[in-house]
Amino acid sequence: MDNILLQGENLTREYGKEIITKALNEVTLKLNKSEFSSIIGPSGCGKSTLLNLLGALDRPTRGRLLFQGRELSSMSDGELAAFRNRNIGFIFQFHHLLPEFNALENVLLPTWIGSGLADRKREEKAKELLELVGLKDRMKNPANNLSGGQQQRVSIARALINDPNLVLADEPTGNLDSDATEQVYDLLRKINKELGMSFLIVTHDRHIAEKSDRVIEMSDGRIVSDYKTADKSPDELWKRLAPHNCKFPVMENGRLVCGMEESAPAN
Amino acid sequence: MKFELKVALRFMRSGKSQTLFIIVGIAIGVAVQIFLGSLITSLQGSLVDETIGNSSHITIRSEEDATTRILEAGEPGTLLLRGNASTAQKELDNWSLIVDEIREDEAVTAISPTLQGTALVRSGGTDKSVQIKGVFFEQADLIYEISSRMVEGSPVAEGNTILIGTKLATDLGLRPGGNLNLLLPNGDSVRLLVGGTFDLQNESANSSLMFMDLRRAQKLFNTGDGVTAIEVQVEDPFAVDTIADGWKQRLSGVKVEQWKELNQQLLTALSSQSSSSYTIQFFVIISITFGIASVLAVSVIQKSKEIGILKAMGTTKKSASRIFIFQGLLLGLMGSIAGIAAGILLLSVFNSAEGLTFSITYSWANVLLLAAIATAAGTLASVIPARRSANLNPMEAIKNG
Ligand SMILES: Nc1ncnc2c1ncn2[C@@H]1O[C@H](COP(=O)(O)OP(=O)(O)OP(=O)(O)O)[C@@H](O)[C@H]1O
Ligand SMILES: [Mg+2]
Repeated sequence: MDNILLQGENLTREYGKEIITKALNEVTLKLNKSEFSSIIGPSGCGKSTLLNLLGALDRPTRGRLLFQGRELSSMSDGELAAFRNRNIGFIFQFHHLLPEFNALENVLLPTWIGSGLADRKREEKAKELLELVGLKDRMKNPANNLSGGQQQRVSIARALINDPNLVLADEPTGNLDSDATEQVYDLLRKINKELGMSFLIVTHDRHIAEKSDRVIEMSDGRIVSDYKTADKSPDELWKRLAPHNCKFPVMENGRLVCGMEESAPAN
Repeated sequence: MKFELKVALRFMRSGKSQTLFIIVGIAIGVAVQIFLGSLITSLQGSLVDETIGNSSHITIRSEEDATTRILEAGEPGTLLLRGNASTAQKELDNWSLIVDEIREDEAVTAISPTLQGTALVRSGGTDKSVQIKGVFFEQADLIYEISSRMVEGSPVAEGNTILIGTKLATDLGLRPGGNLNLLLPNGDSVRLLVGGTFDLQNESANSSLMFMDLRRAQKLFNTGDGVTAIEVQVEDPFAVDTIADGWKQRLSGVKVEQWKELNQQLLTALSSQSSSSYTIQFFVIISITFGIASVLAVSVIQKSKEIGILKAMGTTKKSASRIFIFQGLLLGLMGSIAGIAAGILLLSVFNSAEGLTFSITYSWANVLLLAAIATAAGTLASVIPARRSANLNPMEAIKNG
């Protein structure tokens, strides 16, 4: 089908040599164009592992990955790097920006990597994207002179600069406060609607999952359910997402766990 | 500008004190190398110049043994000169052919056919041994630079006018204008006129050497047209071995001697001095290399998150390693430039100090070579950190906060 952007077949990722951990176990999924999807699931279930495989940052131990019909597993490291540069935008939870560069330069980095130092046209585009994320007046700021939320917005602009087909975000608001979180998601959703690129977002926040087109639930290295939010009633959806909700994740032994549960909203 | 170069520069700028320290370190190393290298070369140059600057580099003599000619000279009551036309060798009769032949060689800067003899001068009750060099004055002057080193009188040695060492003149109580009578074997008497005295800055030359016109000497020693030696200077005194070897092949019936054969000890001293200087320079380069390597190794770890982000955005392994190769190259280059400035400053301070017997000169070729070596060392030092950067796993780098 023409609408399929990315297709994973029986993706398995194992870690370790003697004691083998199956981080991902025979996962099969298709991502559609222009789709805004969330991945939810308990800590350690393989969300990041899946995201890294889909973004060609990592290779599966077994299984196939097709991007618009092209087989990624047969590509060399160099080809995969070029593929990521052209087709994938990454938004990370930590380390959003390179502190050695200012906001504008950070946005331009993917174009430098792909086709050498910037010309005027690409610089204009970077400025437009910074305007889109509401930071036009901060573009000459060194990256670490920006607040966490501002940095994350710059990194969203950076993820978009090469017109990727797919934006992957791994808990992009994990270390932001709730206002900044709201802003960032509204922004991502807006971009998805306006520019039409696909988004796949790992989240612990049920407000976000609720607003996605599609929710992919994972557990223990497998996809346990995968549905369109439009197919569920708001009540049902809210209940389904409850176990995954975590508005205030905290770091414990190097991984995120929920610090506080949230009560259901009063209608 | 390449993107990797830009990132390299930013990384270096963000670790300012690290970068500055290592550049100062490299600069000190390079400055020491320039100073030490130039000092040794200049010292050796002045030593070699003292030894052979005003003497024959290559001497061509006859191969056959000589017959000895007795020379007795003098008049009762005056200075008596007697002796033998030196020479362990027979004269070269075909010397003008040889001169024509070697003049073709571009390395040759001076050729002086010489008839050398020893004689005794009796002064008062004691005999004084003198060396007579019969020469064409203009040609000998190119080697011995007599005319610029006159003490008294004028630099002329033609006809009966001779030049003698300043010490010899004092010993014999002679001054320019004074006379020396020689009695030739055939009974004729020749009166020689002292035209001037010279100071060749060499004790034995000053106290025993006498320059005389070649024709006059030939007549004196009765050697016909022969000379005992052809003295030659060449452009690069250290190339004498190959030049002399070539002449040995081409010229028959002659002996070709060069200064190196006669100064083995000096050469051994020079070469051991050079090799200790090279050893020091080698270890300076080694420590520069390790210094840069360790700074970059730390930098790779410090920047691993940045490298991880760059890789996730599509930076290839090659690019990731180039970022560090550029840093090594730039550190080497900047350190070299600072080191050249410091080294030359050091040399000029040294040269302007008082009481120096010689000045240190440096060659730009050598300075640039040292800079190139330091830059290459910096680049080499970056290879291991660069490989680490290339193999850095982006997922590890971006995993946690
Ligand atoms: N480099 C690694 N070496 C060994 N095991 C790993 C490695 N990375 C992940 N794992 C394991 O794989 C499993 C899945 O990890 P993953 O990071 O994908 O989980 P996650 O769903 O993203 O968790 P979280 O919500 O805490 O980020 C975990 O059991 C984890 O311990
Ligand atoms: Mg994760």
